[in-house]
Amino acid sequence: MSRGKGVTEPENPTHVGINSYGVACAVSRAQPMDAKELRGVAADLMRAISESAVQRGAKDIGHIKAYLEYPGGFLHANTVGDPADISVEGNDGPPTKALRLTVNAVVFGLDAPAVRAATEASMKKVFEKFRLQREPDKPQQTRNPGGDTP
Amino acid sequence: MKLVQIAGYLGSGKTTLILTLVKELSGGGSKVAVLVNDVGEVSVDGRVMEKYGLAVKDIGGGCICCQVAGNMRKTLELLAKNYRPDVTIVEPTGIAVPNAVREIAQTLAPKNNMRIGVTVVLFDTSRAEKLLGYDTLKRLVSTQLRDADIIALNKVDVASNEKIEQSRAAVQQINPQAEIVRLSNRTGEGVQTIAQAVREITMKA
Repeated sequence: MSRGKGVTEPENPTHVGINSYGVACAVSRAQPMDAKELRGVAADLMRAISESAVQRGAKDIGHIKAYLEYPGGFLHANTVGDPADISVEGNDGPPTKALRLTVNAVVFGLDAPAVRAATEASMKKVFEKFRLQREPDKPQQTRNPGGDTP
Repeated sequence: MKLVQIAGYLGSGKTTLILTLVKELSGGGSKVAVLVNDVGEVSVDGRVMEKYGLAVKDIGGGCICCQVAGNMRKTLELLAKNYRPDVTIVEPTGIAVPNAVREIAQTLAPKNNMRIGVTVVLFDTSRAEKLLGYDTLKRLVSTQLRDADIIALNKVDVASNEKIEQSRAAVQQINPQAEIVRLSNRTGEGVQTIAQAVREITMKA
């Protein structure tokens, strides 16, 4: 069995039913966002993706994570689906008009396109709420380590 | 180089525990590296750890227990050769099977002066019913728990005593040999116990 760099191997059967979607993009706004607003963006993203995945039939929110980086500051947010237990931590920086956002959603009980749809729809909703502009996308990835939902 | 694995299902608190553990171990003079593997193609954990000043190697593109096992092998060899940490903490994905990761490391150990240390598997007590409720999920979580030397019942600060005791009974049934530790990344309960287990293997050089 070849195990060189970049060589992928067969997936473990225990991964069945767990699918993920990851996206990284640049986001901007004409007016600067302060630390409170940025934390609000992170928390709302966690809540929206989680709710959207559940509405689409997810059996369990495996883990939804986001990382926001901007000049002088960064935030990381995560949730396992409980709206009361969304965590947003990091180092607040000065107000910013631009940031880099990375989102990773891993869900049990939804197929890969549905995880992607839940994530993208939620990002759009949150961006609209905060009047954020998404810069042209870099290639995005959908991962399907578990194959079809059981 | 000693290898310690902090495993467990998605969202069980692995990254947060590692951030604390590394501070503990580095404070004691150990040179610590972290090898992290996210499920998605886009890494979040590695970036967060780097921001907190950790020496991190990030493996993406799949799970190190199966799809990108070769990348893990190569990364460990390079770490041992070029960075020479006292301890490398491996954080596999939340869907990884710890024994598969350990087996990969074991094949490298003789040639690379590596010692395989403890496998700590975190269990989210606040989600016990879900994790052990769905058949497919239970199969994965049980497999992870069976591979543990130490099972950390995490989030004991938010779970009720009843849930914690139910979790303890359930995991004990799955793996009667494992040491069971109460853990709270928020309050720090249990962190010293795990740090000590890691130190013990570090001192057995």
